[in-house]
Amino acid sequence: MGLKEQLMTDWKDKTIEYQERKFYILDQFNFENTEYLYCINIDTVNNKNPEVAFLYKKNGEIFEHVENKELFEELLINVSGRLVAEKIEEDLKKITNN
Amino acid sequence: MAKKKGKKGIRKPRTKRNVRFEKSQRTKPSRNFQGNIRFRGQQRKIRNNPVNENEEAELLANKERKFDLENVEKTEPLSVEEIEEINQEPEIELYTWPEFMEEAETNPEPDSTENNLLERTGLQVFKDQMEIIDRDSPIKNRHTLTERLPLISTLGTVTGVGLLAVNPFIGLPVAATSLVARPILYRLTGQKKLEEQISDQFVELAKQSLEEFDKMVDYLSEERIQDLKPNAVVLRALHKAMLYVTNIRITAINNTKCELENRREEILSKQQQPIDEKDNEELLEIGKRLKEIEEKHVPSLERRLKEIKRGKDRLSQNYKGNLATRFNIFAHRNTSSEEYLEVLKQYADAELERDTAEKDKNGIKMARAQEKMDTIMQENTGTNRFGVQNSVFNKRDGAVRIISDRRDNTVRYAGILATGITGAAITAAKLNEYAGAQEVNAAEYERMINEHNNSAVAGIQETQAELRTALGDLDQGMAQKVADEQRSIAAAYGESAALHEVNSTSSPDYFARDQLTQDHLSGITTKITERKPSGILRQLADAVRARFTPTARLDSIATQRIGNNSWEVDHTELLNTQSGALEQQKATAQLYEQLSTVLEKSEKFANTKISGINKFANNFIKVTKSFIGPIISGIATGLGIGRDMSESKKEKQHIEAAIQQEDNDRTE
Repeated sequence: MGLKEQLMTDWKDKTIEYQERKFYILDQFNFENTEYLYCINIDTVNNKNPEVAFLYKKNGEIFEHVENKELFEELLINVSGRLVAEKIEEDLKKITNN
Repeated sequence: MAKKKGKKGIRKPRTKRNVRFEKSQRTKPSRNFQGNIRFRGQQRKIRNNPVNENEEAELLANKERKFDLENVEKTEPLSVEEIEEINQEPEIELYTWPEFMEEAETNPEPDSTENNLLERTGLQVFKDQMEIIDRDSPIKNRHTLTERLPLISTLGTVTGVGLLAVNPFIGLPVAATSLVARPILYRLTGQKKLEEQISDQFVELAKQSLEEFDKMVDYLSEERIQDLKPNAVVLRALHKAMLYVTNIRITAINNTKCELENRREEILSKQQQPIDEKDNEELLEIGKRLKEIEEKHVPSLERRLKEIKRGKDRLSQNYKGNLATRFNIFAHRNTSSEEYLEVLKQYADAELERDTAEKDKNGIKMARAQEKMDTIMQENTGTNRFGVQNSVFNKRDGAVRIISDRRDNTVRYAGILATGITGAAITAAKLNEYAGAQEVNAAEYERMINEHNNSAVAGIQETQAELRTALGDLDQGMAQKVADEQRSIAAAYGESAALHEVNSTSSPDYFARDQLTQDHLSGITTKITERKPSGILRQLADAVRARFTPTARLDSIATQRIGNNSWEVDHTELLNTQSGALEQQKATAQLYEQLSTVLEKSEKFANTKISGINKFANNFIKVTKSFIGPIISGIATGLGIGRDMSESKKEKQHIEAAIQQEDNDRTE
């Protein structure tokens, strides 16, 4: 990981490479005092079940992904709520602004 | 094949780039001791007698690769007239696209399948180009001094400020000089000249073989540029060459497009009804070629240019010091061409070895060669003790690496929808699980609560109270407006479809088709009758669904029209607008449907007597706060915005009506 990645604070909407796959970061959020990046594999976006991952910094240096199923579900519920709220808000804004 | 001077050709407009290119070509040719002409960047190619066997072999190899040298060599001594002609600096006829293409087509690459040879890869072409660079325009460390300008500027400014305290007359010039050092150094170090030479070399490659040029450019994607770390000078030169070549190609494509469109107009203006078979076929062919240009050629050229531009932006201090807006005084990515070439050759040879093994179907050899490539990359990647990345290559270490910082709305939207639907499904399942457990074990929970003085009950009560308050904010009236909007869009789609089908609003067919839309809409409820949030969302899903049939019909008509050489109206824009809309609508409707289910379950909780234990209560709080809370507030905020908008619209209408009334009164 380069210095840029170490010092980066705003990861939202960046495309990153992780384990030889391209991920697009949809959201960055804090859950129980840990900063997570929620990302989607760009190559699987149009699939029925796209590949998604939660990344976090281990020891403040390298990134790892969440493997624990329960934590993964909790994080997914959290992030999907926020993203859907954002989308609904955008949709309604779009319609009411027309 | 290089083009001889004096050949007739269409002159290009004199853009800034062209003028500079012409100037560079106009450089007076020098003469070597044998009286042969030498142009810049071609010194070695045109030498009449190779000095040694190695050079002879090299020239022969170049010939085999269709680097046709015969036309640039001039073996006969020059006549007086010829020398005078050269001294007069005649106008150089520049390449134009058709000639460019003609030469590329008449000068095809050797067929690798026929000769049983391996196809040259982008890496091999890049290696060859680096060899030419190292031979003709070697890049030294001094050439990339400007790439370390942050360091120079910082040191200069610090020194200047320090000297200001001692003597302002010394300090000020030093500080000022450090700020303007870059453009000066850019020229002083010879970087500018070198970049132009290398840029010309790349343009020359494109002229000789567009295929090889494209291979190299395709290979040097933004990611590979980060891996291979080509010198900043090379990247800048490549970008310049790309701009030049792409500009020519796009201009040529636009000319072709213009010609095709004119031809189409010509055929259509014949006003013969019906159009005969021959014209019909020609129109079909024109439509096909125009579609190909729009969808394939132009985007492909633009993508290539974008990749190189992004790769170029990754160099040196423009790498932004690994931070979005600051310099990194330690950035270092430039190695001299000599140092770089040595490693690049090893890497390219390993790739050749791998591809040969693959062709021979030798798996072990292929795996070893692949390993060798990885090892070369690994061994030539590293940082010094200050963390400065000063190695030749930059191997990916498996950790996160940023490859782009551009927002991509397509991926974003698709990702949010997929996440929302999955999240809603999981939440619904969880709530179902809790609700089921609550119903079955209610008595047991009651007993346990009595024994358990837990604070979780207070937590769950608080969450449910919040939920009820948020749910109460939902406005049925505004939701109805949203639904009406969806219905009117569906009606507009339907009308548009009818118009595109029959091409006339006065035709009885138009009314018949419009009736189809009306029938479709009458079968779908867009009336918001529900008061509960879950009901409102379900009815909103129905309203979105109302758009399916008209959109699909319009989509199909547009596709059909484009395929069937529509000469009445251009439907391309229509199809572009429609493309993907149906899928997005379906996903949005599905999302609202899922959300409705989730909310129904949560409302059930709100109406149930509180009971539970710590774990259950905590899980419930997590799910409701994590998922339902944000959605409710999102909907409430959205509708709140809508309400404000609606009120301000009413206010505006009221004011306008009042002004109109005043005007009317005055007139009377």
